[in-house]
Amino acid sequence: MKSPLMLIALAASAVAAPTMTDRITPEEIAARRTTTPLATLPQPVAGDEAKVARPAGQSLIQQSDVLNDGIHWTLVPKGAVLHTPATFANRVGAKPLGTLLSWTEFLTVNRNWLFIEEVSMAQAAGKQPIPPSRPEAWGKLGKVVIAVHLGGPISVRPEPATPVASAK
Amino acid sequence: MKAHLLLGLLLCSRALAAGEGYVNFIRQIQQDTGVVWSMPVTPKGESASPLTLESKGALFQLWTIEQAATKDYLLDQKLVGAYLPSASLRITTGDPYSRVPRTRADQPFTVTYDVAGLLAGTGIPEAATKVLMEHHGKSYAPGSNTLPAATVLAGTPISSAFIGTNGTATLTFPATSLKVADPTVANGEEHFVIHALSDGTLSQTQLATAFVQILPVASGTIAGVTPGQKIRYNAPPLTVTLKDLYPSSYTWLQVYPGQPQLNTQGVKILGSELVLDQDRPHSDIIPVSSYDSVFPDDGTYTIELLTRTPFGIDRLHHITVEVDRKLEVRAQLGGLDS
Repeated sequence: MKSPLMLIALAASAVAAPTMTDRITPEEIAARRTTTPLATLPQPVAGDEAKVARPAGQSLIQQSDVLNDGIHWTLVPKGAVLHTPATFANRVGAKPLGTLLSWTEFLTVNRNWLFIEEVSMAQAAGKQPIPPSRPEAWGKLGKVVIAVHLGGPISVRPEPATPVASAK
Repeated sequence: MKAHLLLGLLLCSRALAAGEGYVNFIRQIQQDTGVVWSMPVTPKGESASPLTLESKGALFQLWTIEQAATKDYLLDQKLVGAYLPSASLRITTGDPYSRVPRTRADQPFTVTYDVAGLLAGTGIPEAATKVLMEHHGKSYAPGSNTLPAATVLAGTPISSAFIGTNGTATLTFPATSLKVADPTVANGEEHFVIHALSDGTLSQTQLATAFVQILPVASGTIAGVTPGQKIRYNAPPLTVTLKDLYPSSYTWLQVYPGQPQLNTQGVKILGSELVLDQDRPHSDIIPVSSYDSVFPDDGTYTIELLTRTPFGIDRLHHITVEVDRKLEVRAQLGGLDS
């Protein structure tokens, strides 16, 4: 029988007229917030703040390469542009002018000068080389080549240089 | 060891990203290799990341770029990893508004956190035993009602504390903590963030964030009559000045016989009512006239300015007047000379 009684009580409280008060004063608010609830938990000491990294000074635009076709622009992560023919050099690393499009929209309207190269995560991390045949093919395409992984542009780190054996 | 990540990312979590003229981007930054992947996104919805999660985890960032100003805003970021603690935060207020948690400067709100994956014992790295919770706050610039989260979270916190146990707990904040000379007019945001402790290899340490919008307490005045003024003929026109009315509120003038008494129900003055359902406070000036019908008899009356919000009814101003319409003829009847 508790449930119906509780429902009746809730319904009664819901329709009850709200209490009217005079506008609160600054002093009354100040009196309410004399301490912070976080003070009940263990407090950090000087230097503990250094153990966390805050999102200050980040900029998506500065962390990206801008592609611009003269009307639209979009962003890809720095390192995602694998090949830029001289013909289209002015379209890579350009100024963000015009209408901003998502990567998918931008690719759709600029397939005539963009080519996407699907890379693996190991290739993006520089742990596995991109086959030499690919850069050769890019050179013949005459298009700007963007590295993608599962449809999204991805940065590609340079493959670590092969250690040179020391001469004895 | 690698684990597959299934992460639901809720886009457009803030009003800033919801409108026309903004384009959203999600970046996933692998903490082991530094590889940056731009996730193809739809304007709104949830998506699971198909990438493999490396041992040090991945940082997910939700960005939006404002077309007109070519300005980028980091809306949210979250560090996720198989060997990292996980956390979530939720803020509850007395306002049922659903777009963002919001409340009034004098009202309490609660912060519920849930932490998992912390280890206990000896010889365990500090980063595995506790997380750091921070409370940040910042006032809006005049005329604005939004702040980039990164701007708020980059500053010195109002307070902070370590959480060293797994599980859910709730903290109750009795009123705003925004630092302003008059806390009744505080207007800004309070952000809460839970950080993992970095061993120096993490570019960002944010595990969870939540924020609440703080709105000022309304104020108002009735002008056109003075306390104790006698109203003999037509009631004088009134000017109601309203400042910072709560975005979801109903404001009106009422009149009742007698001296001021809180919780007295009176007669509403037609033309004085103002209904709001919007995303920011509102200030206004309302002229009121032709309200003689609220004074049916001679006597003392109280005029009150009231506003109803999700938190109750506030009396912003009241004035008591005397209505005296008795017609007294003072004349002297002189003798008639015959």
